[in-house]
Amino acid sequence: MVTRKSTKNLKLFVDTNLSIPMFVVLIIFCFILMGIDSRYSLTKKIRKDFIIFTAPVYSIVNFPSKLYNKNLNIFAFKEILIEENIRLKKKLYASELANQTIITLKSENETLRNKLNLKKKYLFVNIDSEIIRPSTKVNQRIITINKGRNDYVKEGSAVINNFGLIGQIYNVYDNSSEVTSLISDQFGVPAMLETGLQNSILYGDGKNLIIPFSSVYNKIYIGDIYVTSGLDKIYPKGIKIGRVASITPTSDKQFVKIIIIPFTRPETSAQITIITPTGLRK
Amino acid sequence: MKIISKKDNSFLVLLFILSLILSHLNIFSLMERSTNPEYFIAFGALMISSKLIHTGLIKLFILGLIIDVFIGIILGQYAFSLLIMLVFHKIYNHYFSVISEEHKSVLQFFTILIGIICLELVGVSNLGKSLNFINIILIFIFTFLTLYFFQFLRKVFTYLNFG
Repeated sequence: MVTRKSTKNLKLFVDTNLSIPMFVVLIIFCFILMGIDSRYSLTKKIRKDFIIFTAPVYSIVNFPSKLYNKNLNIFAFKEILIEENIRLKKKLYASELANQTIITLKSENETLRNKLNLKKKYLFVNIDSEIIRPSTKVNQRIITINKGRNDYVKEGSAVINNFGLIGQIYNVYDNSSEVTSLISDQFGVPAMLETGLQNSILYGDGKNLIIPFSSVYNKIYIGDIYVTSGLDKIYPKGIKIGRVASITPTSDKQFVKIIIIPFTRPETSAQITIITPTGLRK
Repeated sequence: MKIISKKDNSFLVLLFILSLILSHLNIFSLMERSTNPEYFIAFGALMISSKLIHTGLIKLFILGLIIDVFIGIILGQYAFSLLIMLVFHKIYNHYFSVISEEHKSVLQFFTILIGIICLELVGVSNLGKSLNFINIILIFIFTFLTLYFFQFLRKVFTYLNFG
């Protein structure tokens, strides 16, 4: 005897248990979650609360490189160590020489500022840290460092090394932090030429830094060096950023596009310094 | 049957952990851009196509949310992609009978492609990322190779457990 099948339970296909209403509900829920997350940064908050699950992953990922670096010290040849020692001594001597003139310049600067009654300077605190892998997170250039909230690291602090600016602290956990690289699409920094002229904002484009529209009449040449201007009070003034590599015309004849190659990349150095503004100096 | 499904579940858990670790390693970085494969898209494609466990909408949605918490840029990114991959897989299976291994590979090819496109579209619409087609193609190729690697691991795991 043939019986009629009930059509109450709407299904996509006869041989599966996928249901259309459930699929639609879940897709709508996904969009709602995306909207809420982009507005309230839910993922960041959840990751901070569930750091206990993500921290072991970082430990496992970093373990081989840590083991390698530890054992490398054991097996380093004596001659290589002596050579490195001599090279470092020379570097230290040159730094000390440069430091002597910097101290004089600094005190002259202070005297002039006081005489001219210029704006009060911001104080910055330096925190030394190390880059721990991974250096990318799902195709985003985010660097992880081994200092966090417990070491008084703040979100938005600048990160530099001995060559120049590396990026900005983007996310702070208890014992680690994430840094957005200066070449990331989401990075921007107010800058000026080393001569103190031509204030601009440099943006990351995934490869280098760019000034998308700079006036044709600006006196900027290939080889010029950009440093932080300090106008935003986040980056101290004078930190090296990069060198102008090319100046290309844009569709608008009044403007040119400037490409700046940064002096440093996260891969060049493991040692970094975090600079946190602490407020105005009295 | 229960023993087989328990071992399949343990393989999936191990594969999930492996994908999590690999997602944080910058192994493939070409032309100054990171072209790391989407390990979890490959994992999802393997889960859907090999029917290791009963892959329902809700299970896949929750799995996607867990992946988003670990490595996603925005909540719902991987959940959305995995749901679309599952539905595409079911639609394809409904209209074409997938019997041969070559045809299964073609289905996996399109499933992964759809997953990566969904991820990129979410990135573009929510985060203002720009679409770089060369990047997408490279990520797709590496993800497809990762799927073969995962299938190889599955065969090794099955051989070790069942002889």
